[in-house]
Amino acid sequence: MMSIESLTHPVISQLGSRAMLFEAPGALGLANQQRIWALSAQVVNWPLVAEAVPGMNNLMLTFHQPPQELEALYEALHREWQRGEAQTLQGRVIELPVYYGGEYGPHMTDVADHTGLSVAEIVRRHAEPLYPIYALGSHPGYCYLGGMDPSIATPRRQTPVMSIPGGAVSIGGVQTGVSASAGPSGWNTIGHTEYVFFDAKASPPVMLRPGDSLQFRVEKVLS
Amino acid sequence: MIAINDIRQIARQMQNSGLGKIEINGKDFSLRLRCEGKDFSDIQNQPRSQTPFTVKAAVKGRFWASHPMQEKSALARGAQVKAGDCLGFLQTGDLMTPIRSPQEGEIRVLNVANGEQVGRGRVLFTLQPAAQTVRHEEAEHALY
Amino acid sequence: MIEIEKTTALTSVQDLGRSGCLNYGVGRAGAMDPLALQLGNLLLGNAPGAAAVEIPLFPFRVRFLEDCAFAVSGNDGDILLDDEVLPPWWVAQARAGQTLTVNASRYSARAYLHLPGGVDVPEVLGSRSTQLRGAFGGFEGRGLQKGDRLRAAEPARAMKTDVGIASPWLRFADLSSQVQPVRVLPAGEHLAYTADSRARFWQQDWKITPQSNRYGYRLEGEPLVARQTMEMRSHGIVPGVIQVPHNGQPIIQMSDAQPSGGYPKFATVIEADLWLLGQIPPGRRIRFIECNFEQAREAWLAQQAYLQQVDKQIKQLRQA
Repeated sequence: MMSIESLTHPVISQLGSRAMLFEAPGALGLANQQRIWALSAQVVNWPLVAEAVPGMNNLMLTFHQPPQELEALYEALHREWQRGEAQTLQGRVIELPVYYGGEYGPHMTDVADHTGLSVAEIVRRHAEPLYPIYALGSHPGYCYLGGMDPSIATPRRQTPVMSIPGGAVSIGGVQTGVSASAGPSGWNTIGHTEYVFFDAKASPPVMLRPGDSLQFRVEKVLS
Repeated sequence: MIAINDIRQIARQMQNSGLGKIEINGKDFSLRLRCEGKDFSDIQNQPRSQTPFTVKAAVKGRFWASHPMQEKSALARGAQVKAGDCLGFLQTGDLMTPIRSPQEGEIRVLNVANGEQVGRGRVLFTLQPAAQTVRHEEAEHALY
Repeated sequence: MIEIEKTTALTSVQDLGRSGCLNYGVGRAGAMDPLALQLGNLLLGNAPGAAAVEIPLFPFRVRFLEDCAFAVSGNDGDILLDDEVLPPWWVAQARAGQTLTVNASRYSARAYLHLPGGVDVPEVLGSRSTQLRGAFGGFEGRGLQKGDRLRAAEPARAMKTDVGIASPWLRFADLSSQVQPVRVLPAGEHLAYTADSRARFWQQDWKITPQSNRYGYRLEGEPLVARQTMEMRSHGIVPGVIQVPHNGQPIIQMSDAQPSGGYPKFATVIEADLWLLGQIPPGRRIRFIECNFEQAREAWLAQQAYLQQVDKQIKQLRQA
């Protein structure tokens, strides 16, 4: 079975009978994500579709009922993707001060072991890029970010950790992100930051959206 | 039912004769009186109705002696039930209604089997009414 | 109004779940047995998706502070109103001061206590379900504890009581099965496993370990081995998705599942069987049965038809 990265055509698969996953082919990147945003904006208006949920270069659709004509739906999605529409979203840049390593980064040594890099180098490569927000998901207010340096990529953990705190800055595979609240995670936690990502009483309840970008600022590196 | 005047007469006879205890079981009553000197104790006057009563299916459905989701023993012959007690269930489509006894009694006949389809009006149980014990104070009041 | 007298913190207020918020990272939450939730609500004349109290551990005890009708669904254990034993899946009238005790049952893991009009808690982001991660919705965003008081939205509504419904277990499940079969649709990565692993997924019994809860059921069995290591991109998921982390022991995402994940997916439990899965207690075993899309769709439609059928019968009973 080939990984999505090496494919040239999208892959569509079922998530039960009332949800479906569309995966964009090729390298993980912003160009693909802009096409996913455009696709999402289109299909969310289709009568069958309940929700259109972008992920990392992919789109999950949920339906009000199990669709009657599955093949036709697959074809319509492929056609829409082939139109090549992209949606460039211009957003704000939000700076987050981060405490790296030590008690704030319980899995920093695992990342160092896997990458062969020093803690200082991992921190430098992690804090350097501007990270566009690709999508929200995982838990309330959580932002999936693109643009992490692949040299600090570290596989998700063998067994997920029962609870990491809100504000935890972590690496999972080729991705990085910040937990918005305490909860279980399979990612490698390397630091901590303070920010209110979610407020159930606000409208909308999230502070950040796709198109915004995060900049991590090194506040302190503990050993 | 034995008439109150008859009870008074028996009571007077007991007092006069010095008979300590009398128990009379008639066709449709049973009477028990205990007498010590001039005082009466243990007065029981029980009408014994011989007419059994039945519990019928109010609607068409499937009879369950106990709820199909629970492993409880079904009521058997001889079981004593109070008014309102649940004797079983009637399932009509997806609904379950309780089969409740209208009065106190003893189960004499189980007229249907567990899981049996029954029509409206079908007799499900036959019961013997319970004896009704006249309260001590009421009986005493009748005597004096 | 009721006051909680005995509970664990795992008891929570749930309705059919929160929809339209996946793009905020807010998952559905909602009842683990959505069928029982709807059926119990229909019994009380509530909207099918009204909020109820989901009870996963027993005994559970509440005291009624005012006269109130109520229903208990999902469970088939002894339900006691003071000393009176009530049948399961039943609607009854409680008087102020009476105590209701719900006990453990043979088949079902969870019971639902329904109040007239539904449990009256504020709606947050379109639902009254408890969102544990983030601590909002339901009763103050948390599980219930002793002393908590819950109101019915329509406490004084008169209704027909002393009637019940035949449990959906009688219609949709095999009561004699020690190992419940659960239908699944293969998912994106199911072919990425060795032939032996694929065969074992279907053939072996999987045990629901004690580490299972509303977030997910962690299964135990001989581990599944992937043909190559897979690093997935994070993507949206739904309850029922069966993920396989690196250790090869599957995790079935349940009601409090994260709205997205990045582990490979072997299959997804079909919607029509989620209620049954939600009712299997830890320690029991399940077996996966492969079905196709059409069968999954048929099963879903059949369940919707069943709900409409029960609703119709209850309405007819009310009018009689």
